[in-house]
Amino acid sequence: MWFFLNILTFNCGSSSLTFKVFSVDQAENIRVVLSGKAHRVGVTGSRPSSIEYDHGGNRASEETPLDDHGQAAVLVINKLGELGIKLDCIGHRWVHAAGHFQTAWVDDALLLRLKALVPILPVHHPAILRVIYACRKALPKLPQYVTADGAFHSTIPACACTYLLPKGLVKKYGFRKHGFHGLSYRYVVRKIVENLGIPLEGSRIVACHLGTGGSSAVAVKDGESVDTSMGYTALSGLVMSTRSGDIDPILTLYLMAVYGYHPDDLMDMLNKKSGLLGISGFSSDIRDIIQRVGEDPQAKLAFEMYVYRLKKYVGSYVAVLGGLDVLVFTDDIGVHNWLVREKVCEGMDWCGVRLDAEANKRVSGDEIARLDAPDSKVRVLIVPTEEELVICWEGIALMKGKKDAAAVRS
Amino acid sequence: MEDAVRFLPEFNDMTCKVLDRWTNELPEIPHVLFCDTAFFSGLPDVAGTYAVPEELREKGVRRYGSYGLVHQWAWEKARSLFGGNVGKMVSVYLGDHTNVAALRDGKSLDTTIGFTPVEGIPSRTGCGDIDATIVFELHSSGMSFREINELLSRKSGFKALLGRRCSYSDLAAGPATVGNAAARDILIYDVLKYIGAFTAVLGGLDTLAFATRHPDESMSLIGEICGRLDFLPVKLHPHSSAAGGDAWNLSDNGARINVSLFKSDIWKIMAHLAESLIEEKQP
Repeated sequence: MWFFLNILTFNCGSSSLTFKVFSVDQAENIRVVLSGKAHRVGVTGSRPSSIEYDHGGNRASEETPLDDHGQAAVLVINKLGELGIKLDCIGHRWVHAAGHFQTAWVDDALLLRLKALVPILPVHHPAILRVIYACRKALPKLPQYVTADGAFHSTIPACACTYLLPKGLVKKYGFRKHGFHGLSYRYVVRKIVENLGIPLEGSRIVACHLGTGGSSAVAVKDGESVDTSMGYTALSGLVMSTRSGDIDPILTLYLMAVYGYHPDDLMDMLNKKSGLLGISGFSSDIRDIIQRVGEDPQAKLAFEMYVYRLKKYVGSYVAVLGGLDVLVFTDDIGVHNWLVREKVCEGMDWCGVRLDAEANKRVSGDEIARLDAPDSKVRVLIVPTEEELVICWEGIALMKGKKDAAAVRS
Repeated sequence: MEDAVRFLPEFNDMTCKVLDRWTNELPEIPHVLFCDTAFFSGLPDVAGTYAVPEELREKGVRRYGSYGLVHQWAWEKARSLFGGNVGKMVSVYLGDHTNVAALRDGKSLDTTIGFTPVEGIPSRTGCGDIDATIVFELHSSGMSFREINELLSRKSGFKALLGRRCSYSDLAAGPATVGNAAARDILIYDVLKYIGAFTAVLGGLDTLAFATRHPDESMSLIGEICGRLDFLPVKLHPHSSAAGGDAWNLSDNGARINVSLFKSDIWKIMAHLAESLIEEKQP
């Protein structure tokens, strides 16, 4: 029997580590006890690494060297010790599970499986593993679990997730559309349903997760993902800050065979030097680009392509869903950039989208808000996402299962 | 032309050789060359550009499209069928290499085929849209560039999905054909996606035009696609059929969106274009 459950969640970015401690009571009311973020982990630069904490409104930021994500995790665990916060389990976001699991307790067998998934995401996955090992070392008896980010997309039907390549290869390498930002989409869909009071059954939602790094869109029917813009990896789909999004696969062969590009270099260019940065030539930040749209034709093209590609995806998902009930924007750019939303919704009368231009400009972006005009058939919203809370939900379900199993055994 | 061989060696090289031979053999006859990408040379930058660094773009990496002759001709046909009221048009070519284009005032705004005909909707042997990371994984597993090219353009597509030869007619024949259901689902799904994407690009839809070499066999496929676009609203005439002639208005009486079907015959299209070109040249 438990009265309060304390769950620490970790969410690894490529050079950051977000953490939150949730306290859950018997009625499953969830409260954030501590939250924070480690910045510039493993980055050598002019600015020092730091960890910021928010403990019930008391904010603090500490500059400290952070060589890797494991070190940052240890500092967070030490902080919890200082504050006298006792944990019941630790949950981690795992990015790409290749369909092997949704949420699972970490044990030796699972660790082997996770290690095998390192090559798919060579930046994120080793960082997460370091955090898991650091936690194990610091708190050997504490149960840990991982929640797969892509699991939300496991409902995508064959017609949308199959690559038409020879079957032997598909089987050998697991080539298929996996999709990402699943935790974010799960959160957003649940919030929409709560907020609008609409039934999941029969609902047609298009959600756009527009981050400062990666971005994607998803088509959601009856609360389940039916298609998404990212594919086998996070490279395909929308124009992102430094990733190209959709390209003709043959053009990579052309550049390597005719111009002699090394595969590693070209891969690097497509992932780190393309997208907004590649078109504009000066910035991967959409805010910088918007500022120069008036005077710089490349900035103008970068902004237009960003919006255009997103619009194509929204349109294609409307067609797939057979109409639209809700259009939602989330993550940093989605909730904070009114111009992106305005341009995406422009000329979308054909599917019933009409934005309230004033509300769209005024909205703070810090909380859920409606942005559709009174005569809009489609409800347009912004929902600030909270991936850590979804990790917490999964932890609660796991702990309940553990309790039930213990009850059966006794 | 010889410079362009590198883009599509299988086809362009052959075309050069054929042209070489016949201009020598019949020097007194005018020879006309139609370029299937020309119609898309005016694609707006926003649709024609890949989001890659300038260093790569300046090497000729852009969306070229194809089947321009068919789409341009479909627009002209639609204009005569609907008395000039074509407006925002999505043109769908149904065949072994199904592809879709967005047109406005007879100009192309976007298309599914990209740098090469491999991008877009899967074809009989081409993989269509895939994550480009796959190319790099195949290469690091030991395949050569040539082998990967061969794999993606000749050994993939519906042939790979079904594990056997599969022509458009096999797919169009209908759900009753055993074993083709998965391929048919994908074809319908991808065409729907691009119709939606291009409707968004155009800011609405006035004309949905299908063109195919097999109009009769395509009716059930078109029926299924249009059935799922009911919300737009696309309304087919309940007794629409592709009997007699080469152009059919499929839309219901009074429907807001025009739906048409044309029998496409590339030989006739080229003859027609050559004729108008020669007429222009005559003093």
